[in-house]
Amino acid sequence: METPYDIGNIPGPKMARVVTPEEFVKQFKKAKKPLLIVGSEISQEELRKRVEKLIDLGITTVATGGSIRYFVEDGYDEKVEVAVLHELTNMLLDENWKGFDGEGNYDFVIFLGITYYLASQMLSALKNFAPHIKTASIERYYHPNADISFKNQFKDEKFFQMVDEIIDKIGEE
Amino acid sequence: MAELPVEIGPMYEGERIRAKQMYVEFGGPKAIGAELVQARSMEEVEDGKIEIIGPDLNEMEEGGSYPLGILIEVAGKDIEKDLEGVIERRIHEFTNYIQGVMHLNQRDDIWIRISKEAYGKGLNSLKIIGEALLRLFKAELSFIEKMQITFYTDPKKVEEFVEFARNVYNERDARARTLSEEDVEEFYNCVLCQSFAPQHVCTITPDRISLCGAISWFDARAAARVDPHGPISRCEKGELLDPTVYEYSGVNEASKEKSGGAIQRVFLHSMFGYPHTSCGCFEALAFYIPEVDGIGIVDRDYTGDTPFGIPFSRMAGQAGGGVQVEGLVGMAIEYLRSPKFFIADGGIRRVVWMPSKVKEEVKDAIPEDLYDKIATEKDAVDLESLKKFLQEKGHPVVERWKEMEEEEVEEEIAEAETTQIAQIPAQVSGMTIPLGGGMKIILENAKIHIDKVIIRRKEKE
Amino acid sequence: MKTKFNIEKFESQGISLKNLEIFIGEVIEEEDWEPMGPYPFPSATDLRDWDFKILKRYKPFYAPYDDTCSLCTLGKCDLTGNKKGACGIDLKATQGRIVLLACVVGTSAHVAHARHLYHDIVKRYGKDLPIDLGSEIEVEAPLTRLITGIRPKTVGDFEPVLEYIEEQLVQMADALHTGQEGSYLDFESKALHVGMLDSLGKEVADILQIVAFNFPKGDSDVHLVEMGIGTMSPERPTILVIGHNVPPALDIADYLIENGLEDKVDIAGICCTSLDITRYYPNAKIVAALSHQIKAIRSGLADVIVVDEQCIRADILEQARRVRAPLIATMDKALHGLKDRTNDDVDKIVEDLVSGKVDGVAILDSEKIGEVAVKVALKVHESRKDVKSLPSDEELKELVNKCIHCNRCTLACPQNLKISEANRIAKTGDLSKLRELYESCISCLRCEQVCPVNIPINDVIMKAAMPLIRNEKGKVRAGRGPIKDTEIRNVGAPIVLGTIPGIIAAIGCDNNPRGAKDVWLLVKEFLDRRFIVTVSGCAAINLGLYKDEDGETLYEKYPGEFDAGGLVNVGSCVANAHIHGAAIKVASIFARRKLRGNYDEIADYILNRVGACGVAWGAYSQKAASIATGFNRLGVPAVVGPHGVKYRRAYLGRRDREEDWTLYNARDGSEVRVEPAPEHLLVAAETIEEAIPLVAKLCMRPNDTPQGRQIKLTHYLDLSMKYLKKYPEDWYLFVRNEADLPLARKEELLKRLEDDYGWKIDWKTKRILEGPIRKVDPSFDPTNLERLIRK
Ligand code: SF4
Ligand code: SF4
Ligand code: SF4
Ligand code: SF4
Repeated sequence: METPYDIGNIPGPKMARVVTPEEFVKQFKKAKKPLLIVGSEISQEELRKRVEKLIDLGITTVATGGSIRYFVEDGYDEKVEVAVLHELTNMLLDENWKGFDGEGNYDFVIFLGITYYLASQMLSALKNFAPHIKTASIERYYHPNADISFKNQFKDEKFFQMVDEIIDKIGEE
Repeated sequence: MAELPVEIGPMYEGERIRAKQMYVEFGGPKAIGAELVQARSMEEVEDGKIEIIGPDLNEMEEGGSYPLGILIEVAGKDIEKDLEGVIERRIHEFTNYIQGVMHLNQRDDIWIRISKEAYGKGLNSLKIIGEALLRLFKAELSFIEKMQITFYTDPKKVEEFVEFARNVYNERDARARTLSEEDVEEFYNCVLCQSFAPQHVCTITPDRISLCGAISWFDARAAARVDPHGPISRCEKGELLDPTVYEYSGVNEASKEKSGGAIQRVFLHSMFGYPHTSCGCFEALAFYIPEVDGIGIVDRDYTGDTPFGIPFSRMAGQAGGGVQVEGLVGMAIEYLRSPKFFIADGGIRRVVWMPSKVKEEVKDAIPEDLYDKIATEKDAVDLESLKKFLQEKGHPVVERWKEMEEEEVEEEIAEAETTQIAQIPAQVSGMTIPLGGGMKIILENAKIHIDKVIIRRKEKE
Repeated sequence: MKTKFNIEKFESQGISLKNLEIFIGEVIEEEDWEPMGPYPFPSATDLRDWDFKILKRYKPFYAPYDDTCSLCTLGKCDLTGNKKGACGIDLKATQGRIVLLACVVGTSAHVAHARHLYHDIVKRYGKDLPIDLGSEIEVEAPLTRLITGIRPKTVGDFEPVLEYIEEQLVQMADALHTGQEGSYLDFESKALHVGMLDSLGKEVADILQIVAFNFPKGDSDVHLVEMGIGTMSPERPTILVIGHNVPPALDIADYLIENGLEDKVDIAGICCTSLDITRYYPNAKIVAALSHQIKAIRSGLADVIVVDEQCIRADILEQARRVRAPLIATMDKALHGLKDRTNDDVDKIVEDLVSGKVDGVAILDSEKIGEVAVKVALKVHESRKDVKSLPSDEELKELVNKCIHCNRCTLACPQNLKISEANRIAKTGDLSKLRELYESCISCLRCEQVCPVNIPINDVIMKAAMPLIRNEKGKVRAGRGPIKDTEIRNVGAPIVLGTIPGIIAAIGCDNNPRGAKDVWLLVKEFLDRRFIVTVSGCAAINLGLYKDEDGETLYEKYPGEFDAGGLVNVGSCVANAHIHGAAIKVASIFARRKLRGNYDEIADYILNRVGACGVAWGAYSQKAASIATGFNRLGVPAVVGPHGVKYRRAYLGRRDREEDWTLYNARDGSEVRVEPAPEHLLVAAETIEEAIPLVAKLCMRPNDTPQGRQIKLTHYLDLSMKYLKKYPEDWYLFVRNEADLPLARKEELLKRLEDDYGWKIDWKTKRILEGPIRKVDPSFDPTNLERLIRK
């Protein structure tokens, strides 16, 4: 079993299945209405450029944690939604939430570039109280509270390779 | 609208520009300066025009002090001379809204600094300041239909302008001083404070500035024009129902409506009967001192004791909340200068005590023969010494004491009877004697000794 | 007054009196200072209606930290997915239960502290010591008046107040037992109740110490105090005091004063004790907040360490031993295994500590502590000069070279610091990355325990950051205590006129995600915008660490008044009851609302009118949980940092749910739909850039005047632009008419309202014709309480 990125953060019997980029994409493609949530760590340009590619692929993306300002600088602000992660998670919990498009809640929520311990708690809320949502972490951290998660990845290059793989695979069709 | 090189907004209001950060300065201790607003007819004003007479910012030397005149001419169908002062006072606030510009004081006392940083960003012409002022004034004061601004920097021109402005200020002050309730058709109500004190209504007249001291009749008039349904609105004067206390039918009606019926009548210039309500922001309190039959004034900066032996904060706790309290009325210090200052109760000649700082501040409004007769904390902070002081100085209220004494004797007799009647049942009802069915308690020739009776409100079991 | 009266004849059913003589020796009328409201000494159920009202709008949001429960032997139970345990409790209620537990623990800390002070002060000065906070404070104890209905005149009047809290606290702790409460909402209501008790306990504690020890009583220009590790002198014996309960530190100060040793021995403090000792003894230094506890000890500059209670490291004895500093424990709550020497001879204790025969002692009588601590400090100072604490430059090189980059430290680090990477760069001789870690490292030492090659990681980071540490020299304005009634009056008009946009309370601990500079930035931003900023506890301490471009700390730059642009340090964490107090006084001063036993009405008033927002960016303790919950019950929202989600519960409103945002107009009982203000009662942000506009937004209230709303909205929009580079999504919800719009952007915003939100605008008059949730109604008297409706 993978070690939670914050080693003591062992929530209970249900912990995320570690997935490869390929498996992640398989799950992603099964989803009807995915949502990508990104946070403050996309201040790192290499990461942000990759997120922007995902946005270009048409994935609904929300900038949280103040990360919107980087998208403004890159001219991507019109293409992303903005929210406070705490508020957003709260709305996701409500099955009847209308979503950003007014057409309903999401069924597959992806976390990327969010402060670890904050993301972990939000994933815990979704795991325990939002049976209508599957969650995935494509962070460089193993997130036990997600349904599926990458394993810990301490080296940037390796991590970016994995994200690139996702971009390529999603873009294939 | 063109983007300005610097930001504008209230967040720059607190900005300080020190000498070493400054590019140039205007007015202040080293040069003359003035600002003036003039109401004109529609034809006389070219909307949006900004003119600079003399050198502009980019022609000035870094670190220099220069003279400056700012003339703002406005026109609009709702604009009248009386609003000039109100508009003019906003120059201070709006100039400070501009990032990198500091504005101090007003009228011919102005002191403006432009920061190096702002100059570096492109604030290199007074035109930009003019542009910002135009924008802010028109956004805030919608009755300004046309506005043009002239900056004088040519020393000779500034000199003339300052001279001219001074004359206007003098005329304006003279009018403000003489304008009275009788000269106008309408008063104003301010209910801004209802956001905290739901029943409070301020009535603002030329003779009565708001009790917070922030809103004069002129200010209120301007505000009501901008937003007639806003918190500051017109109040019909109506009929003068009682010329001694200044009860107006219009004021009564408006107060009734605006307080949701809590206030039925208002005596504008009396502390008794139906005095004006107080919220909590009053600058000072007027309080009646029955022992000397006079009025005391205490302001919120005064921390010592009043002649009642209690400080402002304790006394103020009794007023406020939009309630009418007889003999305790919140007011602005400026109201002391009003010719109608509690005129129903004898006006300024009834005032027997005020903190020395206030006394100094309103010296001009106190009749010379009275000045030394009003006690301050230096003379008295208890009733005994106040009484003595007033007697020694021959304060006009001393005359009233004789009449008062006669009345009091009668009152005391009446009171003695009523209080006894009122007290005994209250005490008996405090003792509960359990009575069972069919039982009768008979006490004859009995004596009951009670060492101590404690009356305690029942707190929760 | 002596009274005698006769009744000659009186007949009534059941009673017949004849020639009755009654003498009454004395009639004492208990002062009826204000009519009693409905809820004096409220029990948990008395205010349950109020709780349920706020919980309906601000629904508890739960993020479990643990999906299991192991509180009884029926467990361990798996509650994942909101399953129920063997006792029937589900995961949601379990979270409520944990929140209540945290609040009970936090409140107990404050109340036990108050109780200890009470005993100590009654012993020293008697119960009759008057409570007099000076002529400008009439409402001396707003929370005590509000909650218990008591107007305390002497210290002894607090006895029933403390008894009440203690009794309630036991009741609430009882509800935690297995097989008691089952509804999460009721757990929350109880947590709110405990939060209220917490605020009350804090008020008692702080008023007691103010009147007994003559702390400042609301003076705005109290003295500045030196702060920072950089001010600790290697030349002079230093006694380091750590904790929250000041009498032991006072005793040390008194001893120094009595023996003329003020400039021979230094007192330096950490956490609230440092804030409180400097309210008494201006020569004392504030070393730092909680995250610097280990840093200060490992610097080796403390010759004696004196601990009282709360937030002391549990391994303090081991840490003290490491730098050969004798330890003195002074409170029964934190004895650290030390022998109780209270009744021993002072010189004997001193000798044992100086000789190193014992590492530490417990002394539970504050009158001996001063003498022992000072004597020991004077004696060990010389002999401790050879204590080697941090590694030398050479050793540092060796240490970083040992790193095998296993990343175990990062997995252990609560801040997820990338230590391995910093070590890799340090191996090249570049210490900059290690130095960067210093700000975020909270010196918890979790990393050191797991490093397979035993690198003392904390010390390595400290050594690399030595240039920063030496410069940690700042100033803190000593805690001033209460806000004066007159100050509240002064700000009344500016608040309604909008020139003061709100009141920010930056409080709480030091578990900041990226160091305390973020809090400094937030506070400075709001001070520059003429908000009133009140601070207390660790947050107040940390502000002293940073200087602006003019080399000044915020305390030097901004006045200490409760006024526009004023920075008000109320004092230690117990002193933040004065911030509640200020909000309560607004209601009593402006609206003359009755305080006595009238909690829900005042909370309702504050929620709808007083534009205040708490910020507990680094909240970590159970005390912070009870503090925030106490603010919430009183109607004050709070924003926490990202670590704050570990408290498991937030109170989040939903602006998209229209039905949640109706209020009564107390004038006529009509229901009015209002804008979502304030939107949340407790919410976490990820970064300070996200938090700043959020805090500005949470200062809006339904009663805002157009002037007030205009300025608040201006700041909300401007701060969003400044930190997020974009207008917020929800700004238009707060626009009631054109007068609410920021002046400098009025036209632009009208255009946006028309284009983006479909509002109807009359461009000729620049008025809004259609669109807003409601119009401004200056006479709107908002309330959530039916009983306040007047018709
Ligand atoms: S005190 Fe001032 S702001 Fe308040 S209602 Fe009166 S005039 Fe308006
Ligand atoms: S308290 Fe309930 S949920 Fe917790 S361990 Fe016991 S039975 Fe299980
Ligand atoms: S001591 Fe510092 S680096 Fe080590 S685990 Fe704690 S916070 Fe992280
Ligand atoms: S645990 Fe020790 S060896 Fe491993 S990376 Fe951290 S510092 Fe290096």
